[in-house]
Amino acid sequence: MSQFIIRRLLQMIPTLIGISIIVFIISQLVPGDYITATQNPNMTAERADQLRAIYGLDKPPVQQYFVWVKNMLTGNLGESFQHKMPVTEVISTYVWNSFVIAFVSSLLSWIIAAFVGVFSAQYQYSWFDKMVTLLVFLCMSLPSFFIGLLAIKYLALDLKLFPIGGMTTAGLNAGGWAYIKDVAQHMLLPVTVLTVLSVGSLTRYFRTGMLEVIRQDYIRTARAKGLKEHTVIFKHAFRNALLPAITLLGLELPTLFGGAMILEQVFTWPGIGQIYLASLNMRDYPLMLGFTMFLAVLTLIGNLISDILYGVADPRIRLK
Amino acid sequence: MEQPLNRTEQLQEQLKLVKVESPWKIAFRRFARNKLAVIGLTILVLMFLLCFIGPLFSPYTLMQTNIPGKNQAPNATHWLGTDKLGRDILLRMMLAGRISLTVGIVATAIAVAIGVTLGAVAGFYRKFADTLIMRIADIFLALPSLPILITLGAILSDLKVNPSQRIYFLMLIIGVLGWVSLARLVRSQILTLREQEFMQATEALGLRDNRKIFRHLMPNTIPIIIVSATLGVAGAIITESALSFLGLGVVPPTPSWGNMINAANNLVDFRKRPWIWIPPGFCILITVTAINLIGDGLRDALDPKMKTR
Amino acid sequence: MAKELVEFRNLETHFKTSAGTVKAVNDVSFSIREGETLCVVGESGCGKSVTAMSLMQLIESPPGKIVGGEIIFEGKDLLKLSKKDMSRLRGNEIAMIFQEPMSSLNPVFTIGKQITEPLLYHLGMTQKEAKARAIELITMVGIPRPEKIYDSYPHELSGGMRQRIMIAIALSCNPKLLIADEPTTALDVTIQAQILDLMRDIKGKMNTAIMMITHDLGVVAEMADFVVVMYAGKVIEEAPVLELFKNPQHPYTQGLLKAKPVINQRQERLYSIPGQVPNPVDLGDNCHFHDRCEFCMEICKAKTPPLRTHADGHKTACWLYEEEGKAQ
Repeated sequence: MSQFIIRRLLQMIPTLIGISIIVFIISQLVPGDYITATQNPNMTAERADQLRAIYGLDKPPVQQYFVWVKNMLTGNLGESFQHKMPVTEVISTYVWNSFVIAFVSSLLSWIIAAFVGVFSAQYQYSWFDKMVTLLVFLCMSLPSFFIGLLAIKYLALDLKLFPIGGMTTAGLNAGGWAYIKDVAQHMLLPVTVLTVLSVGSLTRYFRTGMLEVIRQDYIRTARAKGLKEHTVIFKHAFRNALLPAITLLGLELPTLFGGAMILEQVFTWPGIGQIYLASLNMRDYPLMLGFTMFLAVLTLIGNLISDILYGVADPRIRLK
Repeated sequence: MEQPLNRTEQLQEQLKLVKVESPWKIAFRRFARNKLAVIGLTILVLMFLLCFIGPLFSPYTLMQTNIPGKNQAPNATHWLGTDKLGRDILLRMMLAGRISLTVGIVATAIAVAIGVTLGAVAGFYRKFADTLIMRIADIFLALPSLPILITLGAILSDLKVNPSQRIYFLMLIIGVLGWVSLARLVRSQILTLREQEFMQATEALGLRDNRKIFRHLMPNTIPIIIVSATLGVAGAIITESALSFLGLGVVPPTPSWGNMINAANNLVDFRKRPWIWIPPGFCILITVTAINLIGDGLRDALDPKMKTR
Repeated sequence: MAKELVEFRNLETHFKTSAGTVKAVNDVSFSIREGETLCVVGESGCGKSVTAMSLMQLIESPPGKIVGGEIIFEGKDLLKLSKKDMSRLRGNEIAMIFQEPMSSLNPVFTIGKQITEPLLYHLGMTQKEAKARAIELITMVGIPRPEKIYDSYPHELSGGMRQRIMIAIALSCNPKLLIADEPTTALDVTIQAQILDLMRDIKGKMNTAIMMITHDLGVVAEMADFVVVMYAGKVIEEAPVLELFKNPQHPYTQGLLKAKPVINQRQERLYSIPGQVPNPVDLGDNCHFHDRCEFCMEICKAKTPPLRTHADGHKTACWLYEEEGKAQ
């Protein structure tokens, strides 16, 4: 097992180098540099040159790349212009706000998708199944920002069922339970919309997985044993349908930490996604690039986790 | 060899022996039987007609502003109302559709061209080419596409690229970021096909490589390319609209569905004038749903064994 | 003669396909007696598996449906039982093994778990009793080191071993009837012989009736007490095994027997019945074999022959043996 993980970690290195090169090239496309971008009118030309020397910006791009990589390896993603603090600190400050809504909605999506997918497969061609199929297509085709806006306009603004946005009520200085309750209220709508957006493809995944599994010979065997239909479906079939889905679990990782940036923006939820988009106006490139690298690393770790989970879950390839 | 659960399939196999039809004809019949897919196709055709023919019947022009007649609610002269410059929303929406559909299709075409070429090369030559291409694919797969798109969008704005040229860059960027999944599909398809007898026959005949690839391997990958490209267009439209909504994709004065919804960032327009931003949103939703339905129908029709993901 | 255990009476199982209704089982009647091995013989798609699946009531619906007839098991009509009562019989009184041992076991559960499942469910054993019984069963089907096998997963076993495990699962609750749907078709020849030996051995020990579905006349000769021949959804001939091999009546059965290679008799070419199995959709009122039959008469194309006794315990559905046919 540990051998497998080490091998996979080593395989990640060239991929990471490739990603860093692409991200670095993109950063080089940015007109001007760190110093001009700070747009400090008080800065003298000498001071600017001094700073360039400090940050290594006077060196040729190849050398700059190595400086950048060296900094990244020591956990230094650079300094955010807007927040006047290290990018890593910005990320660690806001990422948990993102995590809260992403986690709750992922949990909901998985539970709903598993149930709906299983029932839909079990009663294939029924009215329920047809409805589900159509709804799945709708969910998969929703533009996130538009559905967020619609929800805010009609459910929050017009019907006043939910708070309009943000994470807490402005001016509310509550602590403890009152604070948690306030946050939970603000979470309701973004979590619902996020869930609607992700539940479609997951349901479809479970449905096709189940449809494939219930055609298998071992399901016929389970029925021939006289087991209850409930046992056949939820024990024998579902366990098998869950196997490929486990791979998706690892792929959720980048989504959990900042995947929903557009929705965070729409709901003014102070997560890392919104901070990231807000940094666009300031052209806070260190933050933008740092966040991009952060997500890329999460994606790779997610891939690794899903491989490991799959190895643990499937006895046929169980890792020794 | 008998298995009751597969009986219908078995029987249908036997029936197929009776009438021999070309695979495309069979696929067409299967597609035509899929109600949702046919509905999707109908909607998409109507949407194309609306966007490409509709504007010809409009009494207005794209840039025609009318400040006194601004912010009108839908009425007899302006069916979907007017925006803050008094421009006709319906006309803008139809023209925006042209842009959004074109960007979606061209971006996908770029992705398909890259994906199919690289996938075919990797699958056919294997060894070094395969390793290299698949490594690059791994890199692209791990790149978070939205932040990259957003950053590149911001850079395009910083470089002050002219709005009409910007669309070409946009199509290129979306396309270049979208080739990986197709390349992998084509590669694995070709790897399996290579092992089959008919490829050994081409070997025995001493055919040249490009003939083997283009005459014998590629035709067999067309079904997955069609399906994947169709679903790709849906994805590209969503991506473009999200970017444009953020002001980083297609930028005004060129209208696109995404940047029309951008009007919702103005609180008054958002609250009081939903006609400005809701219709283009529904256009995206309807078009993308239609394309997804078509893609799914095509998948079932062209290759029922293909896994739905 | 022993008591009847199962009786199929005019069973009708139909499948709806896009091309029309397929009468996969069309007015089938025969019985299985206690402790007897009955072989159902026929080509692919003749309805023999569907007959078995109808007995188990595991026809996938849609597209399949039992539309008529009765299946009497120990005096009760199974088709009238509630789902719950039926599932209590399944795996308990009536057990079944299948053709594909490689895919018939659930890949994510251990062998032990899969054997103990019916014991826990039908017989209400405790976990401990079930494990002891499972290990006994694994030993009984001739697999060494049962404790180790108990904790193995299916993919760790060979095809022959998996089929033995399937047999162990089927026998776990001492069923009165074991249905074996082509149990050896997917196995190597030597393994086939072992599995057949095992089944014969078990039948001797447990006095279980076996309904064996096969297209292999070698298997029939080796296993059967009684044979039912099916063609295009109908029973066309049934007889005790010796009688059938000695004196086949239906032209189809005669053809089948001719098609079998005989050791020490070299032939230039093996005989094969000319023509193909008819298109199963919307078969008319006629003898479905008529277009392949060398004795075909006018009446064969116009009317379905009845299944009637023409010799002791030997029934045939063929106009050649009927007054109407002889007249022509």
